[in-house]
Amino acid sequence: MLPSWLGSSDASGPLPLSGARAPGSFAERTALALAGLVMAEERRTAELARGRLLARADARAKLVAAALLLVAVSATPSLLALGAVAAGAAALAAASRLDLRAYLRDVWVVAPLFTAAIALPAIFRAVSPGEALLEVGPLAITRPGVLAAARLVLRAGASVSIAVLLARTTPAAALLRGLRSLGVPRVMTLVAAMTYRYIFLLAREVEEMHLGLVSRRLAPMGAAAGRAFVTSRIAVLLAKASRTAEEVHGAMVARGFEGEWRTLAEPRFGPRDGAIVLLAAAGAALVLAAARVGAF
Amino acid sequence: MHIPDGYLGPATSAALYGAMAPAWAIAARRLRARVGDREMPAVALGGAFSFVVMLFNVPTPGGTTAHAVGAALAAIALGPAAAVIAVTIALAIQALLFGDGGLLALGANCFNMALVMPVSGYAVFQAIAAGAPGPRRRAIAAGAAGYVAVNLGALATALELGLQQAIAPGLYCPYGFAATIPAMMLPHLLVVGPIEAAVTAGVVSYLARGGLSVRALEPAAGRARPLWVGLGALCLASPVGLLAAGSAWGEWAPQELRARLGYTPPGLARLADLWRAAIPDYEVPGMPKAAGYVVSALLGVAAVAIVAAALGRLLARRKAPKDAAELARK
Repeated sequence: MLPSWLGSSDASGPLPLSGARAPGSFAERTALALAGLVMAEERRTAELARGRLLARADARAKLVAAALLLVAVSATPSLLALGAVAAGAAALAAASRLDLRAYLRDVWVVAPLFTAAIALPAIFRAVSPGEALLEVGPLAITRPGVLAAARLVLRAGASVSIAVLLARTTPAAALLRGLRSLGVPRVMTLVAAMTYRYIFLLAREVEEMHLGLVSRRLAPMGAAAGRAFVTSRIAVLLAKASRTAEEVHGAMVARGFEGEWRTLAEPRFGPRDGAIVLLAAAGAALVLAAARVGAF
Repeated sequence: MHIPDGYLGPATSAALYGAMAPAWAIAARRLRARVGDREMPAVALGGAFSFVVMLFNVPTPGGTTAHAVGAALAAIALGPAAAVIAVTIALAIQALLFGDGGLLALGANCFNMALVMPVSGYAVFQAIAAGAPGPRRRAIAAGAAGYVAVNLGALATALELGLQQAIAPGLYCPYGFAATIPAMMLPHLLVVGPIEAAVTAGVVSYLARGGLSVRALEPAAGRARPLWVGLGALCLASPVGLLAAGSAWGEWAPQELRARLGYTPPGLARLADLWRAAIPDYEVPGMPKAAGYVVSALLGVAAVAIVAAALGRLLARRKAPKDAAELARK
């Protein structure tokens, strides 16, 4: 038997580490990262259940559409086109009933902010020579520098928008099945499907190891002792993973597995899915054309 | 080390997917030939392990924390082919299902972390732990494998980003080799590398001390074939050095020194022509510069290998009678 909160989808549940305080020790950080992984998965599952539009579409259509748009985003130098793709993706996220705040945070807070920090030195003349827009003492901000930095940040943002939209509107099993029907070898997709399940199993193991440490220690652990703890836990995890693999293999053989994989019937590709691919192709063509007509 | 989408152009991304395609095919074929489809749960758990190990925070001496990649560890524990597939699947799941790391850049990320790291780590481990190593040598070999692997992975990342800037300036990564190589290598050589080395050595050592067993999916290579593959790849990559402008510091030719100083030091002028190299400046007459570099690299490796093999034989012959005499005494 399990307590009821363990079966509920409220993943903020019993974890004692959440809160406004920044995580302190390495053990708390790891436990929080793992809890964050499970919470993200919980949120994704809830969103998929209530999702509309893209969340109901065929995974193959979304994979092809995402690939077309990603290539176009990667090829265009047009800032306007990159901004339009990011805005379009946010509109689709809202229309698909994703949690828009969480979507915007996932898309714009981590990757583009990180990219902005990396791109910042590129706006100066030392990295990007050219016409100066602003000169402050020995530092000069140049037009090619600002354009290069803006392109990098917007391109990263537009690309992450598409990737997050795909990830948040497609169940893992459907995504892997879609990849399979698009030509990815079956062995790879089936191993990936198993890997996806085991990630959460191993993550729970690691979370318990770290929660055990956090709840039993009164004083902070030194760096050397901490490293010894981490390496020993990774070793234990590796040995457990190996043993679990043997048990799973044994269980599969016991149930008649002989090396042949069988999957459920492929989902049907409907008119809506065809429309998604056509619209994405049109969008990708527009993104590429924007640079040709000189859109900024 | 994850490259997000937007930093590499479509041609570079496609080229790195192309570079990974044979690696995936060879790894899958080797795994299938040695363990078959029946052992796929072990590969799946290897992938899950590779994913979760990247979430561990490792305390650093400065009081902060860092992440280990664990690709060399996966190669040592499971075998290189299993590690290539397992780390690829971990990276693909990160990119596709968690939106972490680029989708177009997945080929590049797999090249750096699922090919360069496990293969180089495994080669270093095999080279140092060859024969019947004790626990100490195995731990040292694992540490060296982790250190070399993570630094080669970082170098590959820096070269890809710098090359992108050289191909299409102002469109993607805004920094050339002069910025990407030190920016990637300094933290990896000084902080990330030692952490990866400590984790890899610590785990291998703990597994032995704790009596924990991990079933490798491939038998350990009896020969140092991955080392030769790695050396061959480095030889082919040697023309990358041509992209750097100027000469290495302190390696100026007399005429270059004259341009810098305004005169040639007389001692240098007298001794500069003492030795005429067989292949001056790594350039083979009648060959393009890049091809000359590759030929020079291959000849250099062959020369070192021949000298090392000859020395090894000489030393082994000298040692053999002593060993035989000891055996006879016993």
